[in-house]
Amino acid sequence: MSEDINAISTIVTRIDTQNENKTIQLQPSWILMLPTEIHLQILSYLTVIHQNSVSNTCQYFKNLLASNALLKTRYSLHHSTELKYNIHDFLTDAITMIKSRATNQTATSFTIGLKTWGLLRDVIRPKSLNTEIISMPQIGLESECAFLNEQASLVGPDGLPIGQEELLKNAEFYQPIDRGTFAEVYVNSVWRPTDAIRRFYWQQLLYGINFQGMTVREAFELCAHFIIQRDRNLAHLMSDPGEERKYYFEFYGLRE
Amino acid sequence: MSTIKLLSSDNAELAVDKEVAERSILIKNMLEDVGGDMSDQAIPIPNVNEAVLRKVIEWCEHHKSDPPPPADEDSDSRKKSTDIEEWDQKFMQVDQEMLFEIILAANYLDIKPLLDVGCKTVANMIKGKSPEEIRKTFNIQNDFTPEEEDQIRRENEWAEE
Repeated sequence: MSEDINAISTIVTRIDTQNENKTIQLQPSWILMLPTEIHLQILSYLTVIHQNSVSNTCQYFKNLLASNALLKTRYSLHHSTELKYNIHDFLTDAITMIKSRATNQTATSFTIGLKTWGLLRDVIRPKSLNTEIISMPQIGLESECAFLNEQASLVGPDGLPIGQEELLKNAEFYQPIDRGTFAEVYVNSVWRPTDAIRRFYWQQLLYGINFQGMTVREAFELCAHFIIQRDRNLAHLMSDPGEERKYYFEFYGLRE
Repeated sequence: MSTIKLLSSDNAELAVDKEVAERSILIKNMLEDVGGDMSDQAIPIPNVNEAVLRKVIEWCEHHKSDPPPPADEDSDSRKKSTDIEEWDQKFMQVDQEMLFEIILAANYLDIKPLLDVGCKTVANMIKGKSPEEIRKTFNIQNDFTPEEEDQIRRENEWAEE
C-alpha cells in the first residue's frame, strides 16, 4: 500500500506553504486513495444532501456522483439480476401505503407521475419552479384498477400491471428526457371519505440521477426503486437530527 | 484450538487462532485450499503491514463469535444505517492513515463486517459538513476551476440560506 501512496502524486495537499523557499510538507488525502467501490459504499451511507456536499469537494467525486455507479451499487435488487425496480413493485408498495390511509374510503382516482428539475434549489423553493412535469393519465375508478386489488395484480410481459398496459402506454411515457438530474416521484390518490374530496400524496425527492438518454419510463423505474429503498429506512432517518429530519418532514409526503 | 501464523508485508510473524483468522474470507479460502494445515508455515499477507494486521486481528478476536454476515450483498442490515456499536466506535478512533489502512486491509482480506464499520465511520465523518469542511477533514484538493465553482455556488444557493 505504501507504494501506491507514493505513486499518487496528484492527490496530495500542500499544508505548509508559509515559507515556500524552505520545506514544503505534503499530506496525502487518504480518502482518495481508496478504490472506487469503497467510495461508493461510503457514499451509499449518506443522504442525498450529504452526497451533494461530497460531490462539491473535487472533480473526482463530482464525476463519480454524476455517473450512475452509485445507483447501480446501492440499489441493485435482492432477488433479481436486473437493476430496475419494476414499476409494478412500485405501484404495489404505493398502493399498500395508500390503502393504509384510506381504509373504508373509496378511492376515486389514482395518478402517478414523474417530475424532473435541473437544479435542487428549484425544489426547495417550489414557488419558483420552472418544471418539466410529465404525469401519467388518471387510471380510473378503483373497480377498474387491477392493481388496486392484490389478487388481480399481475405483471404483464413488459412489467406493467395486466389490463393497464394500454392506459399506461401513452406517448409521453416513452419520450426521452433531455435534461434534469433531480426528480420527484409522486403518487397521488384522490378519494371521497365523506362529502369532501381529499387528496393523498406520497412523494419523494431524488437527486443525483442522470436521466439523460433515458425514456420517462426508464427514469421512473429507477426513481421508483430509489424511493422505496429510502422509505424502508425511514425509521432510521427520522431518528437523525438536523437536515435529514427537516428534509423528510417537509418532503416525505403524507399530506392531506 | 489450532493456531496459524500470518506474515505481514514488513515480515512480522503473528500467531492467531484459526477461528479468529477465518473471519477473513480470503484466509478461510486459503486454508481450505491447502486442507486446513498451515501450522508450520506462515500465510503471507503482502498488502498489510504489522501495525494494521494487529488491529485487524484485534477486531477479529472481538468479533470471533459474531454470526456470519448475510450472503446477500444487498442485505438491509449492511445498508444505510450508519449506526456503529460502541466497541467498534472506540476501535475506529485512530488517525486517518490507520483508518484507511484498516479499510483497505478489510477489503483485501475480505472481512465485510469490518469493511462496513470502516466505511460507516468515514460516512459519519462526512455527515453534516460543508464541502469545504470535508476537504479540510480529508485533505482533498479543490480542483474546480473558478467557473465551475461559480456554477456549484449557484446550484447550491438553497443550502447556504
